[in-house]
Amino acid sequence: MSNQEALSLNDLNVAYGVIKAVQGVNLSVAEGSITALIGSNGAGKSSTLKAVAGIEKAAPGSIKVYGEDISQLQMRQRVINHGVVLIPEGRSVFTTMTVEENLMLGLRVGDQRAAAGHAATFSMDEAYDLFPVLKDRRNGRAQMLSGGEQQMLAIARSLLMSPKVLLIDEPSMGLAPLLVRKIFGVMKDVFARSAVSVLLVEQDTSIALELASDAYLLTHGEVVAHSSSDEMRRDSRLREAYLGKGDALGKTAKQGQN
Amino acid sequence: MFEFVSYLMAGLSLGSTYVLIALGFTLIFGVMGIMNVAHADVFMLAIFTYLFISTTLGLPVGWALLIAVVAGALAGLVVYWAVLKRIDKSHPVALFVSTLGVSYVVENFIAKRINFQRPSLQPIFESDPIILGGVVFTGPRLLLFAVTIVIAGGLIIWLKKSKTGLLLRAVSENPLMARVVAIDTNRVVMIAIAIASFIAACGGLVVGNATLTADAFIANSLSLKMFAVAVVAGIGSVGGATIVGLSLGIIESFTVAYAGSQWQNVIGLVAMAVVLMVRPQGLFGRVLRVG
Repeated sequence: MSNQEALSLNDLNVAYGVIKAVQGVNLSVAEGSITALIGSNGAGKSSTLKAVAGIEKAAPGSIKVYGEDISQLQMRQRVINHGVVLIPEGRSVFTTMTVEENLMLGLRVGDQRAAAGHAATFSMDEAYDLFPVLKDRRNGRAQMLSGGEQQMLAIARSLLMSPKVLLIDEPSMGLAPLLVRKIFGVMKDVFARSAVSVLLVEQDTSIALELASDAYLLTHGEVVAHSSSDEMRRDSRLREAYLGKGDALGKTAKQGQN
Repeated sequence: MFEFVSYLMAGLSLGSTYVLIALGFTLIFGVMGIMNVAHADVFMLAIFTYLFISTTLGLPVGWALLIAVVAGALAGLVVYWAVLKRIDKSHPVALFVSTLGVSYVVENFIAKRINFQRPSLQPIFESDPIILGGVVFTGPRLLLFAVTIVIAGGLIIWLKKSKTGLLLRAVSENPLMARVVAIDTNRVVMIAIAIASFIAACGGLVVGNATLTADAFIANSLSLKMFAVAVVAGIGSVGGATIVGLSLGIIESFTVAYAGSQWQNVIGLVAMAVVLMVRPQGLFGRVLRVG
C-alpha cells in the first residue's frame, strides 16, 4: 500500500452560528485505506464529513485531495473533478425511482468524470455482479427494497461515480445488527478490489474498527486520539473515557453473534 | 343525450385550460418547492404577445405563434432570475407574496397599455365544426383538448424516459441527494421553468383561439383553479394534475348546466377542502411523479 495521502484535513473548522461543531481537526487518509472517524453522538463526525463533501462550509481550514485544496470548490466540482463522493446517512437512495435509474444517476457522474480525464472504475455490469440482488430487482422501485438493499444500492451507485475518496456516513443506521455485519463484509470486499480511499463515520465503534485500519476519536469537535484500529480496540481506558462504560463496543459485538 | 355530450365537451375544454396552467405550476413546485402564483400570467402574456406581433406588427401567424411561445418561456425565466432566485427559499411566504406582486405588476402593466379594454382576437386556426350524431364539435375546442393531451402525455413520457427528465425527478424527490450525485440543480430548475412556461404559453394561445378575447386579468380567476387542481392532485404530480384538471372542468360544466353558473367557482374550492381533509398530501402524492 502506498503512503500517499488521498485526503488530508488541516485545521478544519465547522460552525453553525456561534456553535462550533468541528474545531481544528487534522486528519489524513492514506491512499487505498479505510479510516474510521468515531465518537459519541454530536461529536462532530458528520459535520466533518459534510464539510469534506461540500455540504457544510468549512472556515477556516484546508481540505486536500491528493495535495490539491478543494475547500473553496462547489460540491459538484468536488465530485466531478476530484472524485469526492458522499454516501449520506439514512435513506440515501431515490425511492420513487427504479433501482436502475438510481444507478444511472451514478453512472452519469462516472461518465462525466471519464470525460474530464479520470478513468472509470466500475461499469453497470460490474456493479450488478457485485450486488446480484440489485440486478434481480433492477426495474423495481427502490422504495420496495429492504433497508439493507437500499444501503447496497447507495454503495453501488457511489462506486459507479468513480470515487477516489469515498465518504460514508453511518452505514449501519437503522439496520439490524446481522445485516450490518453483512453490509460491512460486502464493503470490505469491494473496497479491497478498488483503489478507493474511505473515510467512514460510524457510531457502531466495534464494527467500524474491524473494517478500518486507522481510527480517529472525536469528542466535542476535536480529535482526542488517533491510532491504528487494533490499538484503539485494545485501549479500554480510551473507550471508557470518551464513549462511556458498557459502550457500543461490547454490546454490538455480542448482538452480532446472536 | 345531446345535451350531456355537449356539456361534457364544454367541460373537457374548460378542464384542458386548467390542465395547461396547472402542469407548469406543479412542475415548478416539484423542482423548487415554491408556489409561483405569477405562473398563470405567462398564459396571458402569450396571448398579448401574439396579438401585438400579428396585428400591430403585422407579422405572419406562424411567426407570431413562435415568438409568443418563446416570449412566454423567457418571461418565466425572467421571473425566476429577477425574483425567485433572489429570495431565501426558507421563507415560503415571502416567495408566495413576491410572486403575487409580480402578478399584479404584470397584469396592470398590460391592462394599462390597452386602456383596460379586452381586445378581441381573430381565430388563429381556421376550422369548420364537426357534427357527429347531432352534436357540434367546434374546431377550437377539439384543438384545445388535443393539445392538452399531447402536451400532458409528452411531458409524462419525457419525465419518465429522458435523461433530463430523470434529473428533474431527482431534484424533485430530494434536492440534497441530487447534489450528492453532482446534478447541477440550478440548470435543472431553469429547464423546468422554461418547459412550464412554454406549456402555459401554448395554453394561452389555444385557449385564446377558442375564446377569441384577450383579457389582461384572466390569471386572477385561473390562478385559483391552477392552485386547486395542483393541490387536489397532490402538488408535484403531473399525471394527477392532468386527471384532476379535466375532472374539475367537467364537474364545473355540469354544475353550470344543472345547478346554475353561480356555483361554478364554489365546486373547485369545496373539492379542495374535502380532499385536504381526507388526504392532506393530495390524491396522487407529493413528489414529482409520472402517476
